[in-house]
Order: sequence, then C-alpha cells, then structure tokens
Amino acid sequence: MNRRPSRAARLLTELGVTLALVLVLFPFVWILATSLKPAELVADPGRWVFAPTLDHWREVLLRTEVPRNILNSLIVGLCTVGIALLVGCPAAYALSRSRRSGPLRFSILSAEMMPPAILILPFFLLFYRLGLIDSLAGVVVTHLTLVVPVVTWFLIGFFDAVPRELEEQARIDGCSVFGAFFRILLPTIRPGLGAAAVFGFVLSWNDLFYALILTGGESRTLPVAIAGFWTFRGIEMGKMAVAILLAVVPVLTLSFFVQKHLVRGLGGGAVKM
Amino acid sequence: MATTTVLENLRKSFGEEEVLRGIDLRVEAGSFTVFLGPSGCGKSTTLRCLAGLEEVSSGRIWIGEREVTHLEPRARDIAMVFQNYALYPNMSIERNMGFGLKNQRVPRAEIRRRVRETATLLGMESLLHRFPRELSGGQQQRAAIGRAIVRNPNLFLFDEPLSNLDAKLRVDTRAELIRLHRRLGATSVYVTHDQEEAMTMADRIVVMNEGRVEQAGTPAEIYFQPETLMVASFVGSPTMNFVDGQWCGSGWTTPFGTILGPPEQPDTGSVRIGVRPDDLQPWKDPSSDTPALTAPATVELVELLGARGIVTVTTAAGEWKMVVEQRRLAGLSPGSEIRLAAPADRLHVFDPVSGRRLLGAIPGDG
Amino acid sequence: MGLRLRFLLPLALLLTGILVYPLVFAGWISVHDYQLTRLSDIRFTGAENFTDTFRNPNFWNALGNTLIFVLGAVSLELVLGLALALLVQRLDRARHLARSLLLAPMFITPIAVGLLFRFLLNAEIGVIPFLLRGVGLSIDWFGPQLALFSLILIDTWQWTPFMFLMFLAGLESLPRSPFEAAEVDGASRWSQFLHLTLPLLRPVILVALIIRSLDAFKVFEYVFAITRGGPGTSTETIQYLIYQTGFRFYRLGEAAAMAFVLVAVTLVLVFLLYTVLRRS
Repeated sequence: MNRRPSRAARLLTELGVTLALVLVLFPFVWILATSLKPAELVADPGRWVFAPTLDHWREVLLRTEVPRNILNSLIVGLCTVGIALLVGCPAAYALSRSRRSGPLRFSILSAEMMPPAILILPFFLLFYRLGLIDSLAGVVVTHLTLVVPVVTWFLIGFFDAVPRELEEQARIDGCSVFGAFFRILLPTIRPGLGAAAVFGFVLSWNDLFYALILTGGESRTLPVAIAGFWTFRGIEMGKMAVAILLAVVPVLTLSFFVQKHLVRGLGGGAVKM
Repeated sequence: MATTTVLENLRKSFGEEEVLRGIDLRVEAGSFTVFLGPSGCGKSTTLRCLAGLEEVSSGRIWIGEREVTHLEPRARDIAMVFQNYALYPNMSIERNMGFGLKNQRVPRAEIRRRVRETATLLGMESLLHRFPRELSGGQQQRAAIGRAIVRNPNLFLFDEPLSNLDAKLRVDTRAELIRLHRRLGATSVYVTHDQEEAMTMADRIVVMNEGRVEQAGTPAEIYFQPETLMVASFVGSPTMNFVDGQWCGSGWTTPFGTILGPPEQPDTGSVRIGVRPDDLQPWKDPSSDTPALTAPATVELVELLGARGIVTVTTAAGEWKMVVEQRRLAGLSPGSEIRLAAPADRLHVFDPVSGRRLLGAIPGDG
Repeated sequence: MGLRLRFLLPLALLLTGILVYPLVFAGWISVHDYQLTRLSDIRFTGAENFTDTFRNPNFWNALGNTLIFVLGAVSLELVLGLALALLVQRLDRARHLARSLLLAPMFITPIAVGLLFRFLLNAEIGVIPFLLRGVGLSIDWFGPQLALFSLILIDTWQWTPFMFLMFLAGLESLPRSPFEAAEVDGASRWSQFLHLTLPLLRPVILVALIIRSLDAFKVFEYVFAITRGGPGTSTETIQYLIYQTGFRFYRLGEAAAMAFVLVAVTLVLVFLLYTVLRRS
C-alpha cells in the first residue's frame, strides 16, 4: 500500500499506540516507584514526589527468604527445561517428519491444555506417599506437564521449517540418522531451541498453582513467596514490590531475545494438523 | 570412477499406493541418463531408492559390482544435488563442500586441497568463506554441485536441480553441467520433468509413467521412434497431433479422409495415428505425388516465434498444430482454408488400446 | 520406521507417567469417598461425587463465573489485540521498540499481576481510584457488582499482548498483491479490512483463540491474589473451587469429580474449535 497516510491518520496511530504503551507501562512504573518509596508513604496514592530509598531492597535481599526462593525457582526451571528439551527434541523431529502425524500433534496440543486442577490431585497424593511434598523434585515433575508439551509443540514448528532434503543430504554425505540429527538439524534450529527453552523456562518460573500446593518453608518458589505478600501494610507492600521486580526483570530480559521466534513456535505445529 | 548401475524389478509402495511397479534398468558406466516424466510418475522415487533415502518394497539395486539394495545412503558412495540445494545453513560453503570428505576421514589438508580445486573448476573460489544465506539462488546451486563433485563419487544423482533457477540461468547451468560431465566422466542420473533439459543433456532418456518405464533410449529414439502413445504425446512441443482410423485395405479411414498405408500392409484394425507438428506442411501443389496424409483444415491462429511460426488449425479430427517456416507463412491467416500434408515416413501408428507402436517413422534422420 | 519410534519413545513414556497415569489415578479418586483427613477409610462410592457435583450450586456458580470470565476476557483481548496490531503495523517509527514494550505483560508471573492490580485498584490506597476520584468518579472495583469484571480487565491487561503478537505476525506475513488489487479497484480501507484482512487472518485468529480460551479456563492466580472468590462467591472460578475443595477442605474425591467435568467442558471446546480450524 503506497498510499501515504495523511498527517491526521499518522497522528491518530501514534496517539493510539502511546495510549496503549501508557496503559501497559504504568503498572511497571508504579511497582518500581513503590519499591523505592519510604515505607510510611507506600500506602499514600497521592504521593509522587519522594526521596527514594533502597530500604526495601536491602530488607528483601538480606533479611528474607526471597534469595532462597529465587534459587529454588531457578533450579526447578532449569531442570524442567533440560528434561523437556532432552525428551521433546527427538520426538518433535519424529512428529515433524512422519506422514499423517495430525492426531499425534493434536494430542500434544491437548496435553498442553490439560487443566492443572485435575493433575494436582493424584500428584499430591503420590508425592504425599513418597515423601516428596515440600521438595523441589515434586515441583519439577508437575512443571514437566506444563513445559514438555509446549516445548515439543514449539520444536515441531521449527523442524517443519527445515527441508527434508537437508538431512537426506547429510545422510548421503556420510551421516547416520542420529548423526544427521545432531550435527545438522539441531544446529540449524538453534534459534528455535533457544526460544523453546526460554518459553518453557518462563512457564515454570511463573507457575503458582502447583508450587503453592506442593511446596512450603524452605522449598517455596518465588511466585509462592510473592503470593505471601498479601497485607496492605506499607512495609510489606514495599517488599512485595521488590520481590515482584526480582521475578519480572529476568524473564522480561530473556523474552527480548526470543520474541521474534515466538510466533512460529506458538502457531508452528498447527500448520499440518 | 565410472560405474554401471542396475535396477532389477524395483517396486515401491507407500501404504496401499504402488508408486513403482517393477523398474528394470541399466545405467551404463559414464553415461548421463535422464529420468523424464510427468509429476507423480515415480521418477523421483526411483532416484531416492537409488540413493537409499527410500527403502524399496522389493527388487534389487547394484552400483558397480556391489549390491546396495539395503545399504544406508552413506555406504553407497553417491552424491546428490537437490532441487532446493539443501546446503547446511550453519556451515560456510567451504565446510559444506568438505563435510562429506570429513565423514570419510579424509585428512584435513587433502580436504582443503580438493575443495579449492573444485571451487576453481566451478569458478567460485570467492564464495568459499560465505554462508549459504548470503548467496543467490544460482550461487547456491553451484555450491551444491561443487559439494557433489568434490566427493568424487561412483554415481551422481540430480533431483530436478535446475527447477528453482530462472530461465536464462537454467540454460547456462545446463550447458555447464554437460561440460562438467564430459570432463569428469562420472555416471550420472538426472531427474526432470522438463523435456528440453532431457533432450539437450541426456545420452539416454528413460521416460517414466505411472511407476513404469515407458521407453528407454537415446534422445533421437525417444523423439523419432516413440514406442508408446504416452511417450509420443509427452515428448515434443507443440505436442503431437492425433487422429483415429480404421484399416480399409489400402490405408486407414479417418474423419478427414483416407490416410494411405504402406504397400502390402496387413490388416491393423483400429489405430491412432500421430503426426508431429514439424512434419506437417501446407500442401500447395496438388499436381505432385499425393502425400500419405492430406486433410482439409481452417486456420485459427498464427503465432510467430521468429524464424518459425506455430499455426493452429481446425480439422475434422479436432484442433491440430503445425510448425511452419516464417517464409512459408504467407497466405496462412486466420480463416483461410488450406490442405495439410505429411509424408508416409513421418506417420506414427499406434494401437489405441494397448498404446504400443505398430509401425512408422524411422529414427534419427531428422 | 523403528527409528521414528525410538525418537518418540522417551516422550511417550514421560507423558504416560506424568499425564496418563495421573489421569487414571484421578479417575480412581473421583469414584471414591477420598478425604485427606481420613486416609484409612477410603470407600468406593461410584458416581456419588459426580451427582454431588451436579447438585452443588457452588459448582454451577463457579462454572458460570468461569465461562463469563473466558468469554469476556478472550473477546476483549481479541478485539483489542487486533486493533493494536493494526495500529502498530501502520507505525512509521519505533515499531520494534513499541512491539517489545507492548509484549511485556504476557511474560510476568500472573500472581504478580494479580497483586499489582489488587493494590492499584484498591479503593483506599490504590492509585487508579485516587485518580478517578479526582474527576469525580467513585468505583468499587472489587465490590459484588464489578469484581468479576475487574478480573476480566486484569486478564485483558496481561494477555492482550499475546493476541497482539499473533496478529501482528499474521498481518506482516499477508501477501501484498491482493491489497494492491483492492486499492486499484477503489476499495475503501474499511472494506479492505472486512473483505481481505479478516478472511486472510482467519487461521491465525483461530489458533490464537484456541490457545487463549483454553488458557483462560485455568484462571486461578488473580482470584487467589485478589478476591479469594469473594465477595460472597461472585468471583469463584472452577480452578479455584477445586483448589478449595481439595486442599482447604481435603475432599479429594469431590475435587476430582469437578476436575473431570472441567476437562469434559474444555475438551468439548477444543474439539469444536479444532473442527472449525480444520475446515478452514
């Protein structure tokens, strides 16, 4: 469309986007401000000018369990994603390369959509018997139910985009099927692997439901800890703001690297369904 | 190292669907053999069975002295060039070309030397350090060809390698491939649906249809002596004209009159007679000897291609085409009534039921 | 073919362990009187948990709330996401920056989003009611009338970016020539949108709808962070009710029955959407 939009139209477009940006960014600004506000001012919505203080940050990082919670979330996320890639990668490849994989692709998608409410009951009982309540291992297992289908689904889309001839060429050039997979295919879909890993990690990092039920005390993950900041007392709100920022900043940073690959990952497996 | 390749009663099914229905073929050492046919005829599947990318359902394959029917592709000592180039996107062109040799545990210095040598042969030294995504389609195709050559394999396989190139580049690369083949002398099997490519490049053309070999022969045999109706109508552009006839003692009765048969011709029953558009001429001189085929026709359309023109006419047998030299086009304008003629030795006579050739046309004096 | 199976086997085994086995176990739980406080006395009760569920007004209330929530949130997100994608696509400068910033909400842990808005919208200390009072508006966001609607708005804030991402990518991959042809034919912007953009985007819209609706069915964090189901039961959603039944009152059998009904509802929805998707 080469028609040049009028000045007015351009202005309206920019105005609309700016409005959306304000709505999206305002809560972030607010939470950042709250994390820096002196405790006695936190509960006063009218105060915008104040002398910033790092009290809440110091308090959270030095005198609470939050660093421990972050470590827990990190361990759970990395284990979950590691297992998911190990299992999902070859499966996604096999699904991408087989004729009539529609029903199988569909079952991956429906696994992705399985409500946690139904899975948590048996898992809880099982872990209760095995003594895995309040342990990170239990959380990893439940998070696998979230992450494995998503990672597999993501990777199917990326494998679909690699022409079959590439691995055939590799096999003619002297590779076994496994060799072609590891030496040619995996390097080719590296961006997809990165995107799937990040997306899976974010899913695990952000989960409250499973972790809330399965962890307690030392084993709590970051979202569970955040959920604990429930009161309206100024000092608690300041700490909550810090905890939320600690949860949000890492995933937002990661997300910037994979944004452009997200779309193919999310919709990709559906192409041949 | 030129090697003879033999396919023996090759069959391949995908589920219920039989794609190859018994292919028997001998590809001579050092020859350039082209598989030609419409899409879905099984030519690509045959090539892929040859490469080991598809497991055959039954039959056997030899490359040289070795039976390779159930060997992995990597054990067959072949190289293949794909339509979409299939360059490894994560490797530079140099590493792409050396990958096969590296897998054969060729020493690094030797790989380097052979890759350079091949790059020089193809005039692409300057591309060696680039990555596939930085190359144009033509350059990528050149790199893919180089990657095949560097391996010095027993057998080259080409799967429609020029289809993704534009017309001019296609003709240039075609010529270059023939030069390379003459120089390297390696046995090559080349799949295409483009008959011009087949005619110009092949020592031997194998025309395939519905999972069978229709005819295998030199380009001239395929063109001048088509063994079946399918070959006759598939090869040649514009396509061959056909008319149905019935034996009447001295020739065949057709919708536009009698076509004279050869003397002492036994009864053939129903036939389908084909004439190439190049072999038809307007018949201007009724006093001379009567040609075997004459037919009244009305000119519909004249398309001038330069030195020659394609004339579309309506006859009692439907729409026919003929190719006429430019200087003889005078008087052929839409609406004019003319007579067509073709000599006896240019008629192809087929059994309409079995599709087999009965008689006619002599090979290779065109 | 054996090779393909070998590649699939680890996933198949894992999914059997973490999905099939729990589902079967959940099925077993759902036909027993299974209470965490009485583990020594688990009795087979047949379909009793299911009939109890169907007779339980709280269940129907929660199902209704969830459906209203899903419908409201997903349709709002669809419209806003599409509008936003169209706007950003026409942006001449800073398009990538705008896109990156607009996507931010979808990466945040939902519990944080819930808490954020709990405080932002709080009648006494919240910034938004404070600003609204400045223009003479007094809205009780979490009162009985508005609470569910507020949760819908919060979901919209977090997940419109997802729709936006899908649609922007869809718009950017649309072929140009039909639009140029429409331009030559003198079609207005509006009719181009209606007769070209929307039909061409249809597959993307359907995929986005499926993913979002199924996800919205699982809403839990906002309820947990803000209303805990209240006021009364006006914001109690299915997932929250199951959580309460199972892990506050330890009636696992009943919770399992409810969960199966939820699965049935979602499966029907997936199936419907899948059929539509395949047809297009």
